[in-house]
Amino acid sequence: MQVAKRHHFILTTGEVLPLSYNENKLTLLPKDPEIVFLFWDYSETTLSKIFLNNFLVTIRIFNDCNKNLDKTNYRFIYPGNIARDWYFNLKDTSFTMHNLSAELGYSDQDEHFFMLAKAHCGKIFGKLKEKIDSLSSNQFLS
Amino acid sequence: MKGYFSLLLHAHLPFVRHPEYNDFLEEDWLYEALTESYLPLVHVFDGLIKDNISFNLTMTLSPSLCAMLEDDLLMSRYSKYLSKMLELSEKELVRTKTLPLQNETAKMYNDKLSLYQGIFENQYKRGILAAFKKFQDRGYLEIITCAATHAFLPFIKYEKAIDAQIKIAKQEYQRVFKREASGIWLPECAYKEGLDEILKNNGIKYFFTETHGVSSADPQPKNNVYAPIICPKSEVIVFARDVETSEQVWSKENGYPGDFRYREFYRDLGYDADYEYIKPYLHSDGVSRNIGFKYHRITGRCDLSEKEYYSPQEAVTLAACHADNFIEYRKKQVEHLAGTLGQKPLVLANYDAELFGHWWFEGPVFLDFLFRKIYAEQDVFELVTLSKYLEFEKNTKFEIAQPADSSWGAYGYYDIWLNKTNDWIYKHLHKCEEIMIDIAKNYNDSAGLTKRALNQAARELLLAQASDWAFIMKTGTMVEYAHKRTKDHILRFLKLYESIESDCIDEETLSDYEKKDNIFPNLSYQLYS
Repeated sequence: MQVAKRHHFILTTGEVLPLSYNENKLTLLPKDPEIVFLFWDYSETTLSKIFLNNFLVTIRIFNDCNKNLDKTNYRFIYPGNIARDWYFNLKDTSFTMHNLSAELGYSDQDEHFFMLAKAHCGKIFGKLKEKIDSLSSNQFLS
Repeated sequence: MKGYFSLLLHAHLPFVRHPEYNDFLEEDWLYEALTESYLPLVHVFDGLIKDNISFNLTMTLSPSLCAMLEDDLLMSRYSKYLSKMLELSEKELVRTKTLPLQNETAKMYNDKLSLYQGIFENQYKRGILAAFKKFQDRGYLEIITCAATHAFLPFIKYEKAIDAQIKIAKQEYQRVFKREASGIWLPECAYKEGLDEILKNNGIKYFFTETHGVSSADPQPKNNVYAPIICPKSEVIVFARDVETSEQVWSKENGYPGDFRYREFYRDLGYDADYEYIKPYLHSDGVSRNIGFKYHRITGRCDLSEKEYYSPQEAVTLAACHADNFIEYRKKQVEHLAGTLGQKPLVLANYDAELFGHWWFEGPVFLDFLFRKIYAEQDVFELVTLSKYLEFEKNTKFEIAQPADSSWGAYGYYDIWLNKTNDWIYKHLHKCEEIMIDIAKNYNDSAGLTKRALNQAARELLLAQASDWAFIMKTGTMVEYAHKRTKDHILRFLKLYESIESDCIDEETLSDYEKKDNIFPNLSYQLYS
């Protein structure tokens, strides 16, 4: 029995990874206390809509993960319509909570934000009291 | 005894095995580690037992390393590698006959290689895991496990996929060592809140963080890293490395391995010797490379061409002095901490196992002296494995604190495994995790070719997840290989997925993948469902 594929991507004949998995998706990964890494993907339909209507790819970052999050404490990022990832620097914000959430969407000409996907909640690193800088792991391979 | 000292060696290498080639450069990582670290350690431990020296240490033997050490192809290739090196050492005896400063070192290589060949071929019949199992069964060594393929667990998106890394590790440990694993080394000591609950569900009793994982815990522990803490939700125990002890060995500037009398790592016969002479010992591409015969000592901060000749005897004497020095510091440290803390402190020294022998050539000799001197010449601290420590301190109420999210990479956070050089991998890895969980659920009861394809898809995902690839991309050496391995496994995974979903599995392709990526033959994809 042939089952319909649930995940869509294009594999070329060369050894090249898919450029997209054809879905609206946003992921947030904390890197250190000051920087979080965001990466995202769009479905073909969404991408066409954005380009045809001159919408702007927009990420909205909240300094909270609660259901009833404070909708006033957020930042917009406009990474451009080509980028697929972004290092967001928390130093430039007044964020004080320990958690972050983010939404992927687009903005229209009237600067209205339309949400397409949410990232899982991310926890901001606490400052380490004692850091070991001189050590690195896997020295065998370095 | 006023306190405890515990030594932990983390032995891990990524799974590198290329049956599609007759010889393969990156397989040398395993062969070099065997010759310079694992076999010398086995020799040291057997010698201690023979001399009735009681010793204790903890070692990680990662599941991917165990898989390679059990692999017939790799062990057969290693046997050839060792024979070739022994052959070269015999030629070196002749070449250096009239060069006394080099001849002493040539004799040392010849003696060591012949000894290790005897241990590998005759004593343990090419199965050195049996040696480590024996040390554990006889109470000298505690072996702990590690995530199945050394994945950087905080960057795995789905809990099921983290759980699979732990479950496979536990299963492999049980299969190889015939007992339950109590402890785990989190790859790269990378911890994030919640991981401990997954460990608990898998029967793991303790794990390790870098120093700051415990010293920055919430609330900050009164005993700093000199006693373990307990995770608030899971009650799993957390140990952390002592900085002072680490620095004595790890530090590039002040660590023992940097002493001018020890062997220089970077000057090698592979480049010094006449090309035609050394060519038979190079890979088939004929490219000059390090081959492990080194005749110079560190000397000082000077050009490689200015290095002085190495004296093995002088280096051995020095290793004994350094062992004395290490013990003196530990005695003072334990005495001081016992007075300050008001309880018996635990000083925990964690190192990569491959530091001892591969990077620090005299490391195994240092350990030999260390164990003998701790046994015979001091009564301030007790040398323990972590399980023995917990048994001795079973009535102690350890502090409850939430470990800090952290790793043992530079800066203490996750930077090494997430930066411009390697961030592209996570989009694909997360998607593969999602697909794996999805197909495991949808084909829950498959059989035949589909089952084989699903199992192989799980292997490809696991291999792609190894933290080593992101690390290599960041460090900048062998980057091309790390890129290729990541891409190969992801592409094989995606192709398998397509073939499963379209009910069009090509047995020849599947067999090819199974042959190349044969890690964990007993793996079941159903772990992801």
